[in-house]
Amino acid sequence: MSLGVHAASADARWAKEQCSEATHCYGLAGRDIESSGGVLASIDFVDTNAGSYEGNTVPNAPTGFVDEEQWISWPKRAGEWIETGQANGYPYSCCQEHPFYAEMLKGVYKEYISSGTLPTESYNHYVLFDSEVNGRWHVYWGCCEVGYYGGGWPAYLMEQEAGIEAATSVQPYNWGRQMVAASDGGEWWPWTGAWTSHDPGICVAPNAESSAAGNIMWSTQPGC
Amino acid sequence: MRLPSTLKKPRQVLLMSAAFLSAATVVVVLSHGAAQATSVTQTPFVSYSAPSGPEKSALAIAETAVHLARGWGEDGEITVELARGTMTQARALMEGQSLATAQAHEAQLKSGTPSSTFCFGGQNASCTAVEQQHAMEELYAEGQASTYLVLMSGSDFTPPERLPKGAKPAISDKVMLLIDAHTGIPLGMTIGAGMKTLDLSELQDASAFVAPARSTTAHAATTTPRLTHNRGSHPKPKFGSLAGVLKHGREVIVFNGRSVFMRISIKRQHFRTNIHMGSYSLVGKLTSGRQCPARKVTIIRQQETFVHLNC
Repeated sequence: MSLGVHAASADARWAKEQCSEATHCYGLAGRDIESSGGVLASIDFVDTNAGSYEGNTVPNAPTGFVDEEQWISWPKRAGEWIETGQANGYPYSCCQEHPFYAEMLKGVYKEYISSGTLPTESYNHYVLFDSEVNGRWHVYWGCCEVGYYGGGWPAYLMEQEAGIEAATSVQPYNWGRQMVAASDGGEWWPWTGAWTSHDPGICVAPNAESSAAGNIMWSTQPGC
Repeated sequence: MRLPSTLKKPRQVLLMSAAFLSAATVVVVLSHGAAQATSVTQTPFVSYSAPSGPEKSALAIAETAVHLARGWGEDGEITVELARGTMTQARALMEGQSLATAQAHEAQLKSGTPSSTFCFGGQNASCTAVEQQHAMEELYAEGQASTYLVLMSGSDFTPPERLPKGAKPAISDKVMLLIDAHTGIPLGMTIGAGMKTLDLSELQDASAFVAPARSTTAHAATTTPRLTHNRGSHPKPKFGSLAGVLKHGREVIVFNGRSVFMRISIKRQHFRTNIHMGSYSLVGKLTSGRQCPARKVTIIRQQETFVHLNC
């Protein structure tokens, strides 16, 4: 069991000393849809590759964690968000993907990570949906609801981000891809327009399997 | 599409990685330019296996929590209060919901009757009865795992948090953890200055421990002199100890007024727990199901009250 030695190993860094357990590095796609009134559901399919690379098991998040996930937020509520996705590493050991969800609301951070696992080499399905249009955001993994955050959130999300978050003290090994969408509960729409960004140590490219806006692949391979 | 030169290498890397790794299974494909999925099959759901082996003791879980906190850089004295329940119950309390809500959720999962919001399908994904049934079974099984809800009080907890780019983590002198009673793995966390008060008495076997500064060894709160140490605005821990004997007993129900305050399991005819100072009524519940007459006790801070429930 990894104990998440966060502060003690915060000095250990990778990617030209820019990434660590304390300073997370990202490969992201995102969009602001406030001008169009927002949507009620954010959809993210996450596919983490598995295997081995130069003798290292993939995915691998030594000492910390690597998440592949989506965040929803509101421009008028800086520092607050809801997220869901899958995690490799802390608080579990190597090589399996555990789904999680979390929120930051009014300075209080909450997270839940399942002891169950979801498969690698598969597009796993994560949704955040305000089905009742009342600011209660239901969290879906696969087909079904696994939890919700309610009370104090607006209906209609205004910002979507999705990608990889690496919080490790040494170079992790993680390859994967995502497809993103939005919905109001019926039809799903691909994103129209998206920005992408990546920190040193994280490579990002359009998803070769579906290159709609926001669909990206990422890698933490050394040399990025 | 011609890639910018800065992306050529990453793209080559990613394609190379795709080549040496096995091909991905595309469950749902969102086609470029078309809103709909082009193929739909069942989406994977969480696969859960119940842990085997014995449950860890409250003390062992308290020390696991302290060990985590030491790793996060908290070097000071840590007070650990904890209680045990099902994962669903402990998680509900941690997230500010009621025990009744958790129990209703457990009953719903057990019944196999999905709520109106249980499936997210829309026009692009099926949500079959088989999928929903399987999901409810997995969630129910995971939710029944014995789990400790832990509240740690110290001076500066800085645990790892999952953050969007540019966000600042929450830090606080208190942190709540959900810890699996079998594996000791933290399944959940709440931290932040605005954290709601936690009522651990709604769960079972509530107890308290203290770990001295820089130590990963915890002691029962009642026997630790540092228990009375006042740290700034922190309230002094006000716990005493309740112990006793109940022959042929299953559990002792502790009432605070008319409300059930906590339930204590009987082990080899004995029971013992740390409990907040105050007046309570105790009702022993025998293995036959019969209940003993209520006995009144007063818990004094840092003292043990011993009770014979002869009935």
